[in-house]
Amino acid sequence: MELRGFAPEAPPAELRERVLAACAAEARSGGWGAIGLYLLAIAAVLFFARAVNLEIAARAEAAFGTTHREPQDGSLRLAPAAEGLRRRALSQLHTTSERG
Amino acid sequence: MPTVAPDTSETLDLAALYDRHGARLFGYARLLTRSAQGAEDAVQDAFVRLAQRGDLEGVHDVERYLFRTVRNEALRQLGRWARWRARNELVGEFRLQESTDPTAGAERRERAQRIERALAELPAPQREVVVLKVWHELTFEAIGEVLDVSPNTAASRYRYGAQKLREVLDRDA
Repeated sequence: MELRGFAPEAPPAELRERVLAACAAEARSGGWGAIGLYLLAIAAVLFFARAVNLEIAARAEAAFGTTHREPQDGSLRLAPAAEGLRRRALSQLHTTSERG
Repeated sequence: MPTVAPDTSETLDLAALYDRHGARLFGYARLLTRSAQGAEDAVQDAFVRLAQRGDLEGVHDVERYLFRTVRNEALRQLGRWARWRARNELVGEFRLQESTDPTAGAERRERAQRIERALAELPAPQREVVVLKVWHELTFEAIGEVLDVSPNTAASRYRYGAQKLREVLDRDA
């Protein structure tokens, strides 16, 4: 039997217009779509970085008390009570280390 | 077989490419997706990917590239897992125009249906190669590139497939 004498099922006539319309739409929006996605990704990273930063600050305050910035150099300092605790803990650590 | 020189210009003539390859790509996609709707989607997605590229730089044979892209789109439709798990189950039934064409004579319709039934008896990898070779007129080298197998493997699958196809058609004659 001559197989090539039979044709494969043909596509519907409207497929041509549908394909070319989809390609034209892609050409119109393709570049901006990629840029938009890129900007969205950067915004998402910045948002999560800020959320993590705030969470760290909140936990530090819960553990050591209120923090404040030094007006002279802008560095972050603990409240005086917490600062005393920190110094005591450090000296304990130092003593323990010296004893071996 | 028509050959197309790679179009590396900035304005890709998608309409000309569709006119030249669209019907054959649909026939191949129909074999893979098992539905006309799925085949239409696979062909459209393949051309959209081409539009996203904007040119054919680095593509040495546009026909092979399109067949391979359609195959990838059909695989994507079936899900990522299909790439590994159901590669051999991917190939569905091959449909001939004459079997459903109301204007074709009854005898011709019956012969077309016999070919479809005989093809359905082939193992899927052989069926795919036979269809690509006989109806899409790809070389073994091109088939190997589309299916990601060696040309020798493609030729071997064709040999076994064609032999079995002959046996089934003779048996049912």
